[in-house]
Amino acid sequence: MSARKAVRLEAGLQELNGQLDTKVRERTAELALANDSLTAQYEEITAMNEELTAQNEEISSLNAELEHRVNERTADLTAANQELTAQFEELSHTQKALLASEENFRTFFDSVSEGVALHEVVYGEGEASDYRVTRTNPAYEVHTGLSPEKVQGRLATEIYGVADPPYLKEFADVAQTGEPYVFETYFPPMAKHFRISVVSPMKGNFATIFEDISERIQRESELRQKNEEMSRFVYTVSHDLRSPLVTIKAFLGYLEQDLKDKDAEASSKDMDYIRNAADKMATLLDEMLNLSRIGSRVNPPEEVSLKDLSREVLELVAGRITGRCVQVKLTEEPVVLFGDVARLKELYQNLIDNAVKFMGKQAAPLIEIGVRHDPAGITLFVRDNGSGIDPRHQKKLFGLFEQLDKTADGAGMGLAIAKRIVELHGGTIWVESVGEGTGTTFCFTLDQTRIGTKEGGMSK
Amino acid sequence: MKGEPVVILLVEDDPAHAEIAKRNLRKSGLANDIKHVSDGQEALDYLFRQGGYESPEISPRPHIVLLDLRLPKVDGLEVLAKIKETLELRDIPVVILTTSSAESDLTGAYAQHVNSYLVKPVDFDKFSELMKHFGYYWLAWNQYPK
Repeated sequence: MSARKAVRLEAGLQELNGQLDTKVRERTAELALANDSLTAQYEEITAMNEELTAQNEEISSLNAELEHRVNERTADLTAANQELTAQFEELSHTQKALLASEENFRTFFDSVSEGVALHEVVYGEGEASDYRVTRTNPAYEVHTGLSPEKVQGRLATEIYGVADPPYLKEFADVAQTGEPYVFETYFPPMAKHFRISVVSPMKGNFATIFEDISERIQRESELRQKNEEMSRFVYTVSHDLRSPLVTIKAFLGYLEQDLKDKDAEASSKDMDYIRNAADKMATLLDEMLNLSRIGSRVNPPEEVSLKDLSREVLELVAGRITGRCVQVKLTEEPVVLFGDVARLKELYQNLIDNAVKFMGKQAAPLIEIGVRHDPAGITLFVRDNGSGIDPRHQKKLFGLFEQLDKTADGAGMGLAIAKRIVELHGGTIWVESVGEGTGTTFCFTLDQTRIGTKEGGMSK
Repeated sequence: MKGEPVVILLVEDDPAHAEIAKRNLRKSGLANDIKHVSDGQEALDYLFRQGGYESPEISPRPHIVLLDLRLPKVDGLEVLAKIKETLELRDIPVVILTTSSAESDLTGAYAQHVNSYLVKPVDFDKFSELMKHFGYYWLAWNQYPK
């Protein structure tokens, strides 16, 4: 080995060493720098990590709370849901019941025999001025003849064609106070009697529930009339039947005395009184029976021509008529009567008998059986030219057992019976006479009398 | 009243009852003069001196009216009312003599100021008794205005 070579080696080595050294130094610095950076980064990461951990913890705590609340809420909701389900069930039950009730109500409303109408009061200037029909049931139409189309939504004044709505004050009071009100009334627009019950389902509204009581009122009035007739009857019977009894008893007493006195003439006179009183009593009893028959037995009504009827009656009274030489004039007009033919015969017989009985001193007695066209309708009459009746005494004429002339025979029931028969046939009877000596006309009306011929011929 | 007969206006439609009343009054032996009319209108005609009774000779003012209730033409109660509403007639005592004991007749008669109300008994002895008492009371005891 050469020195120079060695030196050169050494120099190279030194240079290398230096170079290496530099490099190491450079590298170390670099590393230190990188280390610093890493440390910083690490620290940063650690910090971040810590923060994240903290955040994570917070989140999980929040999460737990949330979950708790969700659970809680779910429980609440479940409970609420259950409650709702229960409520719903109840509601649907109620609704079903309501529907059933509504159905019941409708059936009741539609089938009840009373007419029902719902109304609302119409106010004008603060005062009830009219009322409007809002709903009616089928019975309403039956009773009033007014269909729902004709009345619903319309005003009372229009429906009934009147200026003042019927019973407005009464109805408005009920609609205002809610106090129910019941009354019976005659309703002129329909010529019917109604029993009206008024209730208010809500303020300003009212419902009328009514029934047609015309028939009942009619029956009541008939009953009242019958009762009056009955008490008059009892009165007259108690008086008129006692009278002959008083006579009989009294003259029996006198007769006893006569027999003791052996007074034949007086006995015969007293016996006459007794006989007359007994006859009177027999007549009264017969006629009473007759009167009671008229009230109880009525044959089915049928048509009969006045001509046929009069002929039959005239045959029955022929004896009396010819005996008194009475001329009878029968109307030429074809009149058809409708009723209980036997009773109608009795009616004409009574009136003709009466006319014959009170002919008076008339030299040319005439009885006219006729018909007259009065404004109110057909008036039938039996006219005579006999003794006539003082207008002052005409009102007593048709009473039971009334006799203007006590010396006339009979019990004073002929005209009472005539009146009864006329009334049974829906008519009225009256007398027309200016006074004594001017003749008498008995006029009467009968339901369903018409001019024409009887169906099925027999007009001759 | 001594010597002067009491004039009785008997208003009775039933001839038998009129006869009973007359016989009983006659039997009483008291002086009386019975004027008999047979219906309500005739009674008014007599009292008001009209319709054939114009002359006071045939229609002397009665001391007493014996009045039945159920009468032809004009009812007894109506006759009574006419008497009591007429100043010149209202002081004549009116005695109802009837077979009716009906409440309505009784109250009606008293409402029209009747002076007495008698019901005819069915029994003869009682009737005779009643007429005897009637005779004593109204013909002997009762004092009439001059």
